Amino acid sequence: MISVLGRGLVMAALLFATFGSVMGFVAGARYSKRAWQLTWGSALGFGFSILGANALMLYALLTHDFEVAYVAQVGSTTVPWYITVISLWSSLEGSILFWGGTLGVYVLAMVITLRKPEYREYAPWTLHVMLAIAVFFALLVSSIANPFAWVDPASLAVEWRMRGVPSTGPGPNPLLQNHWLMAVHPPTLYLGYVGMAAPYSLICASLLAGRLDSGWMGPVRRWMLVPWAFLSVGIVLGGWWSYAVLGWGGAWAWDPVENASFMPWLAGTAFLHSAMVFQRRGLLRDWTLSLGMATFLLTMLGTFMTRSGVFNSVHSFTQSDIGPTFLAFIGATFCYSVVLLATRSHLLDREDKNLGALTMVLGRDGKLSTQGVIRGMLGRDFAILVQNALFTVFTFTVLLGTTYPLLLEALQDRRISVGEPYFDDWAVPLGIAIVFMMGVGPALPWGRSSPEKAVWKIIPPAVFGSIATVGIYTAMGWPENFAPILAIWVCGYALWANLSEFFGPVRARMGAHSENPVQATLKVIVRGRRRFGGHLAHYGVILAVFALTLSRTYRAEQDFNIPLEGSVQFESYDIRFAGTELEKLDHRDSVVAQFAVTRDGVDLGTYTPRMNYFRGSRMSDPIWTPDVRSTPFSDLYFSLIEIPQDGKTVQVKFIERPFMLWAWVSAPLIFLGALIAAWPARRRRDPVPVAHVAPIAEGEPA
Amino acid sequence: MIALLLGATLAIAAPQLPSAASCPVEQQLIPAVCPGPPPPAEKVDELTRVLGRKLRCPVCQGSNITDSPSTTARAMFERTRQLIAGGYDEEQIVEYFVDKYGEFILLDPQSSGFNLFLFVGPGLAFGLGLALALKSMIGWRKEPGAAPVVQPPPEITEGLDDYERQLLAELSRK
Repeated sequence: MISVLGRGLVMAALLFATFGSVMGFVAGARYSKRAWQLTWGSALGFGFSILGANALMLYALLTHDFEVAYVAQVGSTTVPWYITVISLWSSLEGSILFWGGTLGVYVLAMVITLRKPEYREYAPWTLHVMLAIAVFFALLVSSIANPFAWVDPASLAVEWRMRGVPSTGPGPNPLLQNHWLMAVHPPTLYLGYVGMAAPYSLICASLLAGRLDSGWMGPVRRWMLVPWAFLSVGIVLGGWWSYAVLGWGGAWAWDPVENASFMPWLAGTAFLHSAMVFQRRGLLRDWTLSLGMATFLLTMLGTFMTRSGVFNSVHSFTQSDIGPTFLAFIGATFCYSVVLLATRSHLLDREDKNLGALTMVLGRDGKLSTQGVIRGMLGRDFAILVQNALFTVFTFTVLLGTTYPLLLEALQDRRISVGEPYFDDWAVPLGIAIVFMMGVGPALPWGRSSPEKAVWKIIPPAVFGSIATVGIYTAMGWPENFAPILAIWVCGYALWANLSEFFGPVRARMGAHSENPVQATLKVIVRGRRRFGGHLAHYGVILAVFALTLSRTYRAEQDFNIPLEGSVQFESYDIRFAGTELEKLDHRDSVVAQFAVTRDGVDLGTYTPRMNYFRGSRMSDPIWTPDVRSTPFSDLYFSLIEIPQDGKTVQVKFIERPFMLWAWVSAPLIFLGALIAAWPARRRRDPVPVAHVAPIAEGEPA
Repeated sequence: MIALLLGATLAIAAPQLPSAASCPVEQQLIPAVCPGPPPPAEKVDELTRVLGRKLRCPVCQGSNITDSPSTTARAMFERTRQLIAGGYDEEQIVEYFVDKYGEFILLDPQSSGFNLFLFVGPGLAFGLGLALALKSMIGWRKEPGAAPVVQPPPEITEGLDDYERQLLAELSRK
């Protein structure tokens, strides 16, 4: 019954998407009101039917309806209900359905965003492109990755008996059941990945419509910020999960699937900055549009890498024949984007009614930068150009390192690996340069500044950076390498530069409007939401770089073999092995090792790293689960290596990582910053042309 | 001591062995390769962990032998520790493992032949970007300020420098 209903909903979604996409094209090309209404209706229809299909699958999972193929694959009557809920994305078919559902949410959001009259010309094109993407996913869900297929209970029982699956059902992947972060990390990442379809569609819409008013960049930028915020949080949560579950005491290993999420983040970040240059100065238009399109393509590549099993990594539990289909879709989208940019971007050169005076400097030749407009190196425009170059090279390096082994294997049948040492060699200098630029761009005015003024903008943050570096390393001991020293210096530098860019305007306001500090601060935040949001995101990134640098430089780890009731000393901790305990739950058994920890005579409690055995799981090996406790100053991490059968000894790894906690704190800062920057400003009756303010700093002749 | 002498005589007595190794056989933890002076005992663990992070665990395929909990990785890690304690240097140990498992286990790929592209590629991309930037900079001096300059009323801007004036203009927008 549910199979039929689910199939029906998926088919309806496919029908709505196809019909709506075609109607969107008609409405865009012919300005037909009737066609637009049909497009709009179909978009709603797609959104509700695919969300309905997701809800139905949840219902099937919760009622353990094993006649539904996907439930038969991941369901189990013994796991707690919340694990049943999250098993919606534990396997390939479910995750593609969930992908579609998330796209449904974004389609509905677009329908709401685009109802304003000033977007009339773009709206049909946007839904046309977005629903075309929806067609692909609805096709997948209805064919290769159909989660609603009907399973005969009798033959299922036979199959389960043969494979040794208990009659309560196989249950989802053990790694998914092992930690609460698996309930949060995948949906957040999906909201980031799938959401990139929105800015992509909005950009395509302006190319298809052949015009780009400055007003249109508002929704483009905003709808890049929303998924970018989720992607940022998703990446941090992924690192946290890896740290808390995998037992090696690290958050990031340059695994292909981690890289897959990092590449669109890099490209999206580059877009958000170059979009500012475009909005402010009318520069870098085609470059900005390309970055926005590339971001979506990279998320598709990421979905492909995660879901096709093309890399044998920890994430690719789902081997399937879905890979080629995906690759074809990515290829087609790539060609479409290139053709669109190449053939239609010149149409955007026509006069922009809002930009007024700036039309004359719009990129007529479609080149990377329009001549004569970036007027010197000491301006924010140029700083962002450098930032863009760094991010692009970073994206390219990660892409190259990730795909190179695949290409080599395909072309020469030679198997090699590209791993952490390679990526670190590039990521460390690029990361340091990026954080440095984070303290240069905001400190310089748009256009051009004189060398003397620029120097005075740079000196105080540089002094602060030096003081912070000397302070921290005098306290913690100087490292052997230069990189951590430089990393902390740029963190201090960028922190001060951003703080003074925030408090400078507050002081100026207090002087000019005679407001008290609180009033002035609030006004600066409210009036300059984008500026403030950007600063917050910068603080988040600085915090993450700071935490990762120190937690890595001062990481201490040691393996021990401890007899029962034996004690060892690790760093400043005294650790006693108090024995093992067996813990039995409905869906898993655990062997829990217990360690009593004291430091300078202070009791720090009992640490309980464990081995979890999940019943009915497809993985017969236990999952070694570490125990981590964080304080603002350092993390203590216990990871079991081996518990011999007799339980008389234990082999265990202890890790200490200072300041690790702050790496996770970066996520809410970045998220909040992005949302504040994305929050739409109150509507002004007479929009001030963005060009109004910028050129003042250029007033004086150089 | 006897064993050492025996080893020494064996090494002298067997010059026809294919090895060019000039050390006692029982020092040769890798056949026909001679170790150097061993590192101080307290540094062995740290050196092993550092080297282990450059070697991929061949069965788990995602992680290195220092961090992976799998049996194979543990065994390789122990072997690495032995070799380091025995005085072998990084190059010898890496070569030993590559002989055994193939190039695949190198997380830091060899920078030779076809692989050079991996190391040159990002540099090329950066150079290209720089060239484009320079190309666009050539036009800078030619064009006078194209954009109009909007001045706020003088009574407000008195006594402020350019930067503060700009901030003021940005902040006092309605």
